[in-house]
Amino acid sequence: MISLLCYTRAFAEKHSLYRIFFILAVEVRDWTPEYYVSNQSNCQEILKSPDILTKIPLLNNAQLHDIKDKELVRFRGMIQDMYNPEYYFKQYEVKNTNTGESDIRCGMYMDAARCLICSSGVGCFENSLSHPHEEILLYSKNNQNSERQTYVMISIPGLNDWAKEESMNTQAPHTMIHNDSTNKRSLDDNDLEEMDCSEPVTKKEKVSADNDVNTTDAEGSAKVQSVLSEDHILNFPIPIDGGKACIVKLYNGTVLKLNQVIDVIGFISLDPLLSTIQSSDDEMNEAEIQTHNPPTSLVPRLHAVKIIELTKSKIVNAPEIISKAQLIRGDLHIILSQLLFGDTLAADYLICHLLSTVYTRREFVCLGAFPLNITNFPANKFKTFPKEFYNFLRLFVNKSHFLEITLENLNELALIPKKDYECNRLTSGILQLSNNTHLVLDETSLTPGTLTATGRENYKALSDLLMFQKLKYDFQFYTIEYETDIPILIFSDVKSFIPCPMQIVLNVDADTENLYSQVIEAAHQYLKDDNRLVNIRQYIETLKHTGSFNFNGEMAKIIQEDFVKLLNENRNINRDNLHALMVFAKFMTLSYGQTALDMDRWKNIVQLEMERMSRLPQRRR
Amino acid sequence: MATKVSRDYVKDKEQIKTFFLEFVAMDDTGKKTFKYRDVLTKIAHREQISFEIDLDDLHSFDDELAMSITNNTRRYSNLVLNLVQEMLPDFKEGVVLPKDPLDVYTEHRLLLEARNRAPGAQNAAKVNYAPELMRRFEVYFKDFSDAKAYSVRDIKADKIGKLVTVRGIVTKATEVKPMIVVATYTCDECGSEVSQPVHSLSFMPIRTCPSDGCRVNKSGGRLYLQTKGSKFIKFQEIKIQEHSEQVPVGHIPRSLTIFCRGETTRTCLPGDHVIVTGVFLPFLKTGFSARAGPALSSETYLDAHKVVCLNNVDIADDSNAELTDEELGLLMQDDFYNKLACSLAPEIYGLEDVKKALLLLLVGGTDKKKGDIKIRGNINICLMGDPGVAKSQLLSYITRLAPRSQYTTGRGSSGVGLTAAIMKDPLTGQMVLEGGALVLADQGVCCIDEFDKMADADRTAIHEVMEQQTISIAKAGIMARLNARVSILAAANPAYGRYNPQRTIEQNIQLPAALLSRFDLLWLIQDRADRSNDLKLAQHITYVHQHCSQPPTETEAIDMKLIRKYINLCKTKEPVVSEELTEYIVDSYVEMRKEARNSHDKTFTSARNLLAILRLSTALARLRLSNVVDKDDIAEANRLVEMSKHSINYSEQRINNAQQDPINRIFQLIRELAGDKKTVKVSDILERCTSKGFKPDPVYRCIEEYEVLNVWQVNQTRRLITFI
Repeated sequence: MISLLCYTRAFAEKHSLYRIFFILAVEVRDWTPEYYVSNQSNCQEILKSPDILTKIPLLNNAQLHDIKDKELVRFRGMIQDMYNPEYYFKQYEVKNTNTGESDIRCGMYMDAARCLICSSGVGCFENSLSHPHEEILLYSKNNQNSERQTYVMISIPGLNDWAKEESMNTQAPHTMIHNDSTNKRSLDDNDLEEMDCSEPVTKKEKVSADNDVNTTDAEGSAKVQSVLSEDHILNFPIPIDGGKACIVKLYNGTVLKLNQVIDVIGFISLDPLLSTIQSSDDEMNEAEIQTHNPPTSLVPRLHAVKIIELTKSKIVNAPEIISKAQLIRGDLHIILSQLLFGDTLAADYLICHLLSTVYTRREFVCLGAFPLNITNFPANKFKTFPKEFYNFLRLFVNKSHFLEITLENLNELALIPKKDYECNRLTSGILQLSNNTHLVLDETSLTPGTLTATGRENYKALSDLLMFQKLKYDFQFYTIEYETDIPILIFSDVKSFIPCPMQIVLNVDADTENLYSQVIEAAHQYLKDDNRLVNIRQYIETLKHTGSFNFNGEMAKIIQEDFVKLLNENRNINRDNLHALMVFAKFMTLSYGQTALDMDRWKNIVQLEMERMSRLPQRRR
Repeated sequence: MATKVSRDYVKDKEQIKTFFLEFVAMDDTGKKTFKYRDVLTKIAHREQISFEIDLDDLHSFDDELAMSITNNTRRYSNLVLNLVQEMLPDFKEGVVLPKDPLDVYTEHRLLLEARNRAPGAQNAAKVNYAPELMRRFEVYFKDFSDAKAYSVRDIKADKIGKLVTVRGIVTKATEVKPMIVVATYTCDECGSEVSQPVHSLSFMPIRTCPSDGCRVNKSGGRLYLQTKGSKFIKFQEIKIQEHSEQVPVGHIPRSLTIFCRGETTRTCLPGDHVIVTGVFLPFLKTGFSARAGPALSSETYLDAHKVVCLNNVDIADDSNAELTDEELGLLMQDDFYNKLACSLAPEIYGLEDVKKALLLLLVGGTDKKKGDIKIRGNINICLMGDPGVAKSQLLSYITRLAPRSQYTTGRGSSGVGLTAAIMKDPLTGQMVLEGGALVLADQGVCCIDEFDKMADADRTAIHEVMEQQTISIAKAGIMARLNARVSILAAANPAYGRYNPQRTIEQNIQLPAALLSRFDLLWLIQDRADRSNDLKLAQHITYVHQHCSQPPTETEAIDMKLIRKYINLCKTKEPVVSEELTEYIVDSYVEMRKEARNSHDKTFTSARNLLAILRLSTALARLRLSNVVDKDDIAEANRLVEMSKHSINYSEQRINNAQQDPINRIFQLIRELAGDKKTVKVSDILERCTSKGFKPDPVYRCIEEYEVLNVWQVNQTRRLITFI
């Protein structure tokens, strides 16, 4: 395949069509790595426009067979692992063995060299008769070595369907255009291109049939590869519907963090030969080599030309949403309180929970996390209540995951990501989630029993995550802490076994309880009004990213006095409660679309908190 | 392939030769020796295999040459290999007997060749033996002693070909395998031998005989590999990975492949911390090129020249290398002692003295050893107090801060418990000794929460740990003494939920005095309602939330890493108490004893206190990075001991005052008398109170006072009290 590609190019070059081809192919989708390299600054300028970006096919929901090798694609995902940097030839010299001419080529944005060296198959010998034979001068002083970063990216875990759909919608028309444009482009190289696609299939078979050394090799590698299951290669923390993984190669040295969510624009590399890299002399690394070179059909390679870090939300009509905040909050409050058996207090807390995001962090103090523990719901009557409730949450938040805490799950699930030195990669665990992924824990089916060593570690990971928003990844010889921002909501019959500073004892309204199935129906109907649901989503997304919150000195005085009063009245209150109360105050204020805390709101907040505390079972002494 | 500024390697070779011949070093006794001549002699006699060239030595001889060696190490190591081989015969004194089969083999070949050559003599030197075949030594370069040990992350493309030193932890090591260096073949037709030096990881065997006989005759002689005539060296591939503290926040540690050959093999195991010096080299992905054209990327590896395995103590020293001047400046400010103390668990408010004590615990006093008598320098601290006063938070903070630490609860969850246990190995059925938390925390801090709920067996063992710093075991035929040089930080809850000041410490904590007295400092943290403290806390919290940062007025907490570094630096000091101060210490101790005798002290004032003061003051001197304890240190140590006693005695005083109010005490008695009943007869109360030594008057006053408070009602005849 490569030889043919090269042939087409060599052919084009010969007839000086090469340049024409470039001039015509300025459409973003038709960029090739070569074109990009020669017009880098121009291209970067073009890529700044968001409209152009949407024209680039999105890998997330595209079928791989729709995408050509070396096409420019977009991928949105989370960084799951980082491999060692790769050393590659930024520039290499190629010598034509027939003519003796040499040529310097660029090695950026591609995996294999462009060079007419042929594999030992018969097909190539045929080629070599009629075409120039080239070889890379490995020790040429014109060669330039450089380094590129390698990241493993996966589709964002826990991304809810509605959040995906949006991108699908924006995508659909463009794939159409894409097809059109390929037709348009038929001017000079379409024939050759087609040949490109159809020929290699037969050719490759031929090669393997004719050459016994190659066949055994291929079979051997196929055998080993089949040992590695798809799940193993994709390495998702939680099952992702239609999830994709890819290996991204970064050239400009942008520093990315683990679990960061980014958009990558880059040239895809689907060369099937990339997975057959084998070094037979290196038995020790067999598993590692297999894992690091998965089949491109499963894990395509992306040579990034642009990275967009998705830290800020992209809600366009944010000001409008904020002005309507009270209204939307009202809607959300009604639904939540109904779903929570008519408990309005719990609904207030839950809204804050949905808006919570970590905003300050220092060593082991982390402000902004607002974990909730909802207890005392009629679990016997409504066994599936947590699940049902989660289904609603999924409609509201971008990313979420539901985790049932049972004894078996605790003992057996891999919650913590762990370094696998056999394969030299980070084996994902359920808790490897990107920031702002809502984690819902259902403790109702937890039964007494013995916790194994894994169970203990899992428990510790969960409680550390909840308290400090930090997770220790297991590197076997040591652990490394990664900062997280995962809001946690726990459903349990009584106080959760994971220490949670905010426990809400539900005050179940008997009427709602009796008619609960109707309540759910009604809630669905209520949300049917499409605007309502969209508003709620935008409301949560917008307010999550509204950082500013303040109160004036006078308010501070009042708050301080109230604190002292609280401390005096109730010795069980400690500094953590006060912090939590302040966080609660912040999100309460924000939830009304305001940024400044005022007197009335504060009094209301204190009252809510007092009511919450009064519902807690009193400690017997 | 001429480099632009190529060095004159012939000249360099001469230069290195003179260096070998002329370099003179002082040995330990101060005698001048020809360092490299000696080594060469040893190698010539096959007493030594590795020939290590210290770049420091070379630098003093010719700095430019040393630099160019670090930049192009591979080239020079080949050059030196050849050079040494040339030079060796000059150093040979007497005949070296052939030792291994390869020697015998080549000896034989040489003889044979000499015999064959005699008649014809025209095909001399037809078969050349690769020089590697006869080589019995290996050349290694030792990096400059002041060379920086890089982390794996710093090894980038610009380091290719250079000699670098890397630090990391071994994650994987293959078995040591023989690797072929020279392959020797025999031809099945003409019987001639061909040798082929192998430089890469894989090689293509020669198939057809290149000898004149076969070529001319076209007999197509095939070559067969001769194992006994080939040369193999030991080869091991290891992988190292970055240290956890070298990894930037939010990144995955990187790894590096290292090829060890010959003498550098078998130097480390997975899990070891190592410093490796080697040449950073690329190698092309093999296999790929054969099928799909050359790969653009290449793998890299480090060709090891020296592998140093660090033991645990070294890591602490090394990883916390030098503090920068800036950091030192920050730490050397006037109130750094307060500042450091405040930086411990900054999220916990107040408790300054407790934090100071904990800081001293981390630093530790100096061990004293004279013959058999050993006095521990580690400081033990016990925190007691009401639930919810952040004892556990302090403990877990210290666990996180201390480089070597264990956190357990008194009821250790595993069968091993705190000390050690004999376990039956499930596989072999053999009895093995498994260390508990105290053993694992050797030379560190062991934080024990719920100290009062400790198992009896552990409690008895802990006596030994706390004074002798060892654990002796005599069980199931195993007699062992394990080191447990730990500082113990214990937290204990009072036996009755809250600390009861009326009872002694032993009763409150339910631990024997013998054990409690082993703590250098006992600290009682009480949960007291204190408005000013509450207000401070409230102000702090509102400020944090208002401005999303720590209040500027408060001292900025020092970074944990920096504290760790500083503590490590402190530990290198060994301060001593000067003669003049001994009197002062003795005086202050005598004073303390006197005071303890006069006032009814509930704490223990014994000779152990004197030792505690000495430990604390040496720790304080260490903290100042001083080698001498001065008077202020002792004063501060005295103050801390005083404060710790105060925290216990003061609570007592306070409650005693309350108790001295007879009306309160009478009320208590009435409550006791009432028990579960709602009514009490006044006559009974009088009887009870007089037996306790109260006059009737205060009793009546008490009844009236509480009636006014609506605690109880008294009937009209004033004979019966009814609780409300």
